[in-house]
Amino acid sequence: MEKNKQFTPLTKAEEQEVLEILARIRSGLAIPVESQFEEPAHLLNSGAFNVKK
Amino acid sequence: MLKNNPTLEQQSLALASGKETAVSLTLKALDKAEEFKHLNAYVVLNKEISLAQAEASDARRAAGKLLSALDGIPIAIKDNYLTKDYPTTACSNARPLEPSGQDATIVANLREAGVIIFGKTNMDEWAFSPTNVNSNIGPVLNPHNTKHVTGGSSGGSAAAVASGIVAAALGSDTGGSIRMPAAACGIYGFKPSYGRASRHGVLPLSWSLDAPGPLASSLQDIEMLLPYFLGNDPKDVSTFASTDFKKEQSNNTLEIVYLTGDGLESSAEVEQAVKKSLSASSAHVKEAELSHVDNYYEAWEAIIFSEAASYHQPLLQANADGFSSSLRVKLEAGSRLTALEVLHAQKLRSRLINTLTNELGEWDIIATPTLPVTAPSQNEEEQEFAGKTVHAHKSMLWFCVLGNMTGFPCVTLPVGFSDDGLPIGIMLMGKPNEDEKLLAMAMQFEQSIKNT
Repeated sequence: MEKNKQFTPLTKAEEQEVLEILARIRSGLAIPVESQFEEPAHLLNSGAFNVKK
Repeated sequence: MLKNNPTLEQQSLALASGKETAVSLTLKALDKAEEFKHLNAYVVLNKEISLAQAEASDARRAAGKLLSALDGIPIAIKDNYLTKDYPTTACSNARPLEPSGQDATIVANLREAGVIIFGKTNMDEWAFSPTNVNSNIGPVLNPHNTKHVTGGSSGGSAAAVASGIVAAALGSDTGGSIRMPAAACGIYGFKPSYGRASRHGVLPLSWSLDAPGPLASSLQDIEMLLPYFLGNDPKDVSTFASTDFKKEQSNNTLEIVYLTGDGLESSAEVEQAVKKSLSASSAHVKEAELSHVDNYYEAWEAIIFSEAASYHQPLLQANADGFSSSLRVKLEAGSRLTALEVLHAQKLRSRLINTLTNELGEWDIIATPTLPVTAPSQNEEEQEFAGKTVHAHKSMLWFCVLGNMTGFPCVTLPVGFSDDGLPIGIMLMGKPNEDEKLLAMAMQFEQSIKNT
């Protein structure tokens, strides 16, 4: 795909929305994972690599 | 579903008995599409293309060379499935308007079965919204009450089925995009297990969450369609362990877990309708409380936002102005999440899978309402239920994201109406890769309700 032209930058309101989304997600993620052995779910087969050790 | 709409099964029988021809079915569908044009369910529908396929089907039937029980039946396609004879826009101004020249694997399967590829349906821009308000051709209106949304992102497919234009349509589901509009429109929707159905040729939203599936007029219709969805496709490596559809029966007493907890509430009338259906069924039902559900929602957001941002980077750099403001904001947010944050979200996903798999005791089905409230009105930004005020987007996704986070198969079926006439659905979740068993159990569940 060709890289183009300059595109319209985010407005202040859009930038604020981005920050609010990030704050919401980061707040939700801010809990500890209990087990040191907890693995991230696998991208291709969400069941296959999630065996509790 | 509006009354008296024929199912796929009925259309197939009508064709077999000679009561209908593929051309007569297609003409009726074209008339219905015109009658319900105000719903804005379609992006594009070409009469000549549809009738040419119908005439070919009738010729095959006359020659005794039918391709399948679905030969000659019109089925609508969500506009994120590639189709060789129609453009695929994902309802975004960032996409070209030329036909791609190729079919998604599932579309190709259906075309080989003689199905009439009956136009492309409206959807949320790039499937990244749950109400079907954010489309470049405008919102889809709910056939039950046009002041309300259909839910998204497969809203055009849901409206086309619920209004009787077609008996079935294709959808895709990353956080509930098949189940939410199916429930909001009073029809049936099935999200296969992650990795059972080929995503090849379905424009991605979030690779590890996406699942293509059908919206239909009955569970029997879903059974007719699943063979064209499930199975190994070398063009989608996530299906490497998938097997072909194999019909199952279910006769044993069902063990159902009904989920409760903070973040799993619903309105009084939805809870009442769902619990009434559970009580009326012959199933053994127990309740289980989940914790951290809000965190799972945000973990889902971290995954979908980052994967969508990654997929769209080239197009963002080439044509950012082709995206709506609201989608650009989401993609920008996804671009700024760190690798550690996304991996932490994937760990929470693992925890959820472990919880549902290992910590709820014995179960055949996990049940929740499909939506915690009925479909919001077109401009309703927040919904109130169970003492909470929730953004309409989050309320639509409330229960459904659990199915995508785990990858488990899910089906929604209608179980009643609210006082103001809007449909209410129940979501049944099965064990991973046991899609056929889930469908058989859903049929058993529905039959037991009808028998009471």
